[in-house]
Amino acid sequence: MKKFEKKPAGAKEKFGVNIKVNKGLDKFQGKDLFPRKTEEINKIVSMLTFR
Amino acid sequence: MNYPKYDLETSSSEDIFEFNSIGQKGDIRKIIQFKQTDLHPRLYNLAFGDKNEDGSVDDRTISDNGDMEKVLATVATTVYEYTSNYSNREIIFSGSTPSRTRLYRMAIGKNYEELSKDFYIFGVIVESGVGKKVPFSNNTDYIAFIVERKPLKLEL
Repeated sequence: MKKFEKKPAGAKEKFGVNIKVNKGLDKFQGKDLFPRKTEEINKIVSMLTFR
Repeated sequence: MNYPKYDLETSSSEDIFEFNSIGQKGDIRKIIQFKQTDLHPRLYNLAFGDKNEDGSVDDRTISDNGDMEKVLATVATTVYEYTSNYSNREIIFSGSTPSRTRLYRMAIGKNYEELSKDFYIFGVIVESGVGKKVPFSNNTDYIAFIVERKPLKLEL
């Protein structure tokens, strides 16, 4: 028998998953959560020539 | 992609996502951030890693939670969702180590046919100190990948 999972309140279903806005994550807005990765990627971008 | 995926939570602007990886080592909170790069205003860096209990994040941990495909499929879903909201933005990403970058290349290669329906997919190579964005090929080592959402097709 197929098990039906309850969709979390306020969630939208897209691409086969439930996506729910969590305003608690807004506190990270504007912050760099991965500074080492940011530096690494910016270094790669600085080498790139775009068409 | 027809892989199992985890449900997502996202910030109001949908540039930060979180989900729980549930596997043999328990529940591990994952966090993903899309962040504008310094030199190219349309190019956004996709970074993801584990969120520790103290709120710090770590993109070098090897979780070994036995759900790698499900985690990667979930991260791929965030790229679909993000580029649905910000279709003019290109996404750049790489692994935290060369072996992880190779892992991403294999994952892209394995799913290229489906991914390429919705994205232009490129690899980044370096030749004589110059980085080049080239069409993705399964047999090439890259230092990073760039994906760009194809225009949505209107079905009449």
